[in-house]
Amino acid sequence: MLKALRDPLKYGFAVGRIRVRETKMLGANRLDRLIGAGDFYDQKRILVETDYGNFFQEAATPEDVEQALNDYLAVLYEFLEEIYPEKKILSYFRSRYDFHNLKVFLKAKYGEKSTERIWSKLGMLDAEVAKERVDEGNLDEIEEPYASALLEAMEKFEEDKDSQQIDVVLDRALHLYLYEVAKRQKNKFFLGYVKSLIDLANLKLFMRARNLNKEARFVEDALLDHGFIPKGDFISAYYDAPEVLIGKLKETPYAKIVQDSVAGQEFDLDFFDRKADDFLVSFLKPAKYIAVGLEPLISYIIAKENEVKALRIILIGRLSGVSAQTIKERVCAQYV
Amino acid sequence: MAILKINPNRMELLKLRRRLAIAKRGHKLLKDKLDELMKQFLEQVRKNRDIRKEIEEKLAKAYQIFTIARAESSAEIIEEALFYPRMVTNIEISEKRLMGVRVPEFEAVQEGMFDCYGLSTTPAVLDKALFSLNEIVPLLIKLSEAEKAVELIAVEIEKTRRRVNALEHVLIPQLNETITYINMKLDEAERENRTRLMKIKEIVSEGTT
Repeated sequence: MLKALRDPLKYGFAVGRIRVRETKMLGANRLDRLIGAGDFYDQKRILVETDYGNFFQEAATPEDVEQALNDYLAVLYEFLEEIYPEKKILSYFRSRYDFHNLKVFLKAKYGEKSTERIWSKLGMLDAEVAKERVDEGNLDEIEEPYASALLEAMEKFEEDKDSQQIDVVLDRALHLYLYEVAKRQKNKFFLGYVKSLIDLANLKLFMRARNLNKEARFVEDALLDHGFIPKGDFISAYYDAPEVLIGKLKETPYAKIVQDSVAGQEFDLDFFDRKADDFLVSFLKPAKYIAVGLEPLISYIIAKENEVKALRIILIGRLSGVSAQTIKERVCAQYV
Repeated sequence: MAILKINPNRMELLKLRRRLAIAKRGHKLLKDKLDELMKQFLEQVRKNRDIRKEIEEKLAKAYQIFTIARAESSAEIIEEALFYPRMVTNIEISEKRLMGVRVPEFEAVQEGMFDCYGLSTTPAVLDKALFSLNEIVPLLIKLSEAEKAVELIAVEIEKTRRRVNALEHVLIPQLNETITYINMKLDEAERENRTRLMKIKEIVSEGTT
């Protein structure tokens, strides 16, 4: 079916609902008000005017804020399921919590620790069952792609008893899954977004590994597949001056961000992290002008996740005594 | 001050004089030791204060960076990231003697790296926070060494001061008084003897005339 005919049928209802909700997003002005608010109670008063209000009524500590934001995200994903019940799209957003839980269960198993409090309820897998299966080593009953990722992580860990390998393998598997979900949607915008996400994750990994003096072999193992930038470009530039990498990136939109992040022979990762988030938001912005399609749908959900992240920085930062100036520097650009 | 319970004779007098000489020499030595211990104590306290100040400054900075890392991602992600650490810190303990006080020396030997998490999904500021906290570990161990040294030296000062005071205010005055007492007793006995002899001489000379 032609895209012009197919999209209004498939996404019309969902995009209509989203357009209404977009008007209720916090936006830069309200976030500025929250940053400038005198204390947490002033911040709560501002939030009462928004759809976050109900979630923060009883909040008083950073843990309460965390809980309220998790509850909010759960409602957001329910909303997504309600307006667009395609499981794959929902799993794009929720699979990261499953991969997070699997990391926790594996580390708990090998470290003989309790997992209370640190596993997330936002995933799609039944966490209790998954934990039991991981503990028993019975991966047959865990669905793909989790089972094969778990198997690889377990083999890697058994090899050299290095807990970081669990994160490396599962992060790679998560991003591969995100890429496959985007690819199956056959939507250039969505695929472009995921590829940019992978590029920025690879750049961050490259810079952090350099700052931490890690070996090139680690980077080779940890780099994520299916970005726009070939993995080889990172590996060949690993031991060279930062200018070599910048040279390789000159045709990409990341060259300026990386160039501005260079601080001597190292990288200013605070700056890079902020600029990477801003870049992804700017990538999503054209979706506001697409009348009907998958683009406004995924952009809205990602924008809401960014909004939650910004709120976490503002509220927890204020509760922990971080200055308004520092908080302002850390909050990335917003979608609306 | 009560005197010692002894027989006031010349033998005891000699013994007590010897004890007094030893007590005075011991008192001087202990007093010198006390002065040196006080010097070492003040030096350790100063060292302790400097390290503590440095740690407090660095900790405040590290906690602020950590708070930012904590705010940038959910608590679950940060806790998962630090759930299974790869770095092991062993503390080697040896001893050194400081004015006779056995003071422990701690040395931290670190193995492995502090990053035990995925570098693509955790906030980059976490590296900075952990790097700052890791820098503080050797200082904390140095501080514990300095604090233990201060504690042990303080105990030794207290003990030495008690000994100096006991010598200065109890034993030496007691010995002095006892010696004076014996001297007086011996003088008395001498006088009695002389009077007795004079009386005998008088009786003898009366008998011959």
